[in-house]
Amino acid sequence: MDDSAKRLLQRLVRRIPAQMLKVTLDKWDRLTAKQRKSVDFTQSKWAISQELVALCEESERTVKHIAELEMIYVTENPNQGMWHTFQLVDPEDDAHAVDLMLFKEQFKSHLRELKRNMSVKIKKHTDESVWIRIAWGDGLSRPNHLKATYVVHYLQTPYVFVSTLSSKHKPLLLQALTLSTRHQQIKDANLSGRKLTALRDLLMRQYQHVFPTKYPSPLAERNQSISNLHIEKEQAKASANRHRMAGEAFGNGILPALQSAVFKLETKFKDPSNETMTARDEPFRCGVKFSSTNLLESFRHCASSGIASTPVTPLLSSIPLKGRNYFVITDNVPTACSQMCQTQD
Amino acid sequence: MEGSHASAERTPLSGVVKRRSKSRSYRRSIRTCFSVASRLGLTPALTTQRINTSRKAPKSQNITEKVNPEHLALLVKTEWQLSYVTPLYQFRHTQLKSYSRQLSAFIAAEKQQGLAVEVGGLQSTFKVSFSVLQGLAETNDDPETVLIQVQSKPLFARQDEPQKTVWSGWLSCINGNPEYLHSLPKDFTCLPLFGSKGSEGLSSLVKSWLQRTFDCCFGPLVISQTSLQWLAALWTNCHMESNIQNLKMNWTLPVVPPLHVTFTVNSNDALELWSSVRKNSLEKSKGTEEEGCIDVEEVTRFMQGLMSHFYRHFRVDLSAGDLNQVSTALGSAKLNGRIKISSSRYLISTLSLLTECALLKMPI
Repeated sequence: MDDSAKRLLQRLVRRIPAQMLKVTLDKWDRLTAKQRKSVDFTQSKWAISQELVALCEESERTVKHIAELEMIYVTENPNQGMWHTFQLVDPEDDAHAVDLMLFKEQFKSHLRELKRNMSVKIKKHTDESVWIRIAWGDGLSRPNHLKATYVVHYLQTPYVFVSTLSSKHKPLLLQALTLSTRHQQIKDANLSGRKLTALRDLLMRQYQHVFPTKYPSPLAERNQSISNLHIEKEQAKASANRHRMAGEAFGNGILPALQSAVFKLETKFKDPSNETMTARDEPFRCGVKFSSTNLLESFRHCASSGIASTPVTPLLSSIPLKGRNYFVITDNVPTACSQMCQTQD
Repeated sequence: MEGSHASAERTPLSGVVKRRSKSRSYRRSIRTCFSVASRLGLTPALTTQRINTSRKAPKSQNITEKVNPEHLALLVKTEWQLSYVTPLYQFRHTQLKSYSRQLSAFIAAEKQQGLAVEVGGLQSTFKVSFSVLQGLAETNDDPETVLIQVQSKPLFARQDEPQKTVWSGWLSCINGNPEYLHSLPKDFTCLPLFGSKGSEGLSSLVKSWLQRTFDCCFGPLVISQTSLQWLAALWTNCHMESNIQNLKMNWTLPVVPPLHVTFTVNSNDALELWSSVRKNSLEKSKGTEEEGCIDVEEVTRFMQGLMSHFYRHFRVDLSAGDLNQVSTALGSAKLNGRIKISSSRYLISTLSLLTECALLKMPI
């Protein structure tokens, strides 16, 4: 086993939590059952990694096999690292006919045309997503398996999620993706975060919005827990309105666990009590970052509790609606509803 | 502190605010509250303090002439956890060597849990040093700042490896309220601000030794919302002289799950907003003794301007939550009492504000 394979394996053992290590090794299936039994998982990580290196050398496992192990772990635990979303636009006529086999062939061949000496692994996951692992090398050096890029794409959807991509390789990857999925362009979708599942749910849910529901407002019989007819809640109607509007803006039920949203504001300062600042022509530059363990739930609670005034401002409701969490807000031509428009990056 | 904040609103709105004005009726009413305390001989003057409604704008001071630059380097660019301390009984700046030995022995004894250790014995692996940070005191009433450092060898060190500082702390009083300082009985030294950095275990050991030896009390110093707002305004004001890079404020809104908002404002734009808020009051106070003083109303208007700009876009009311951190290139302050001063030029003014907070937090 060469040096890079050893290092990769050692790093993996350090990274994978102890309880998951056994399970992942079983799934990997490159060590015999006897070998796996012989490893004592109660030891320190360093000791475990030494044992595993020895076993892999025994079975003559190469760096490609270790890369498989990493891919298995990342596929099962995608909510780590930073994922960025891209959107494919302008599909060609035959875009919908791209199936997995065609995509795999095309992607590999396009990538190899652009750059030689890479290690590419493509796998289909149980939830119909295509996972791609790319270890980049160049003409002179071997593929670097320690900094592999991961790409996740759901065929027939325009979204691609990418993690650990350097700016050097970005144009190559994007071009290969565009060509192999038969689209004309790819652009930044301005949605990024740690939890891949949250990003995916946020975007895929958009499809639900397209289909009209039969009952747009909750049925009247729900939530009728009147304990005492003599007690009347003064704010009941206002509270119900807020809850309804909060639900309309962000959705009812469980929301995808998006964790942050960033707004760059370049709008003018307008405050009737401060004439000096209002008369200024230059924008008031500031940035706002919202973060929470579940951002959309926090916003929904803000709206329903009154901390955020309802109707919810389009700035916040466009997070679930447009499926993005990075916005640059500037003053554009004033429209009827608001004086702010989002610019496309 | 909340009580004194309410009283600040009673000051006249004419814009000319005398520092530390006291109304007779307020003093009398507080006296009756604390009448028990005054019968026990505790001074009544303490309770007439209220948070300053106006402050002098901090000027960039080059204090490297007053204070040893090495000492300054120890204080700046690190985050300190703040507490307030009640006055120390029979603390002598001349006895620092003896205190160092006693504290080393105490720490060693506590770590060994009950074994007898002789003072000055060689068993102690912890070495404590008390020293004076000469020059930080601003007025004649301020006692000199005392620095405490605990050094120890790292766990697996070789014999010749030097000891590293594992814990540091300091006791300070900068621009302390002179009436309060004069009202203390003889033998009491007032060093109300305590900053510490290091493991929690050592902090509590040092505190308990100080409590036993000098009959004092420690308590956590929460930097209140008002003080954080003051720091935001004062640091923005400093942008005229030193670049603050940007003004960053963190709020937490009480929803489920809690929502954290980080509002970062470009430093030049923040300064313009601040100047526009000050423009009116500067015109009024020209020529009077209040020139150069910043009023709490200006601070409030500055914060309100920022929050209303935020509201205009997001329709979220930030005052529903807690401001829990303010940071600029000059330093950062957190609600839970953590402070970091990044520039020695504003060390004195920041410590003065914090000394005031500490004095107000004290129970007596």
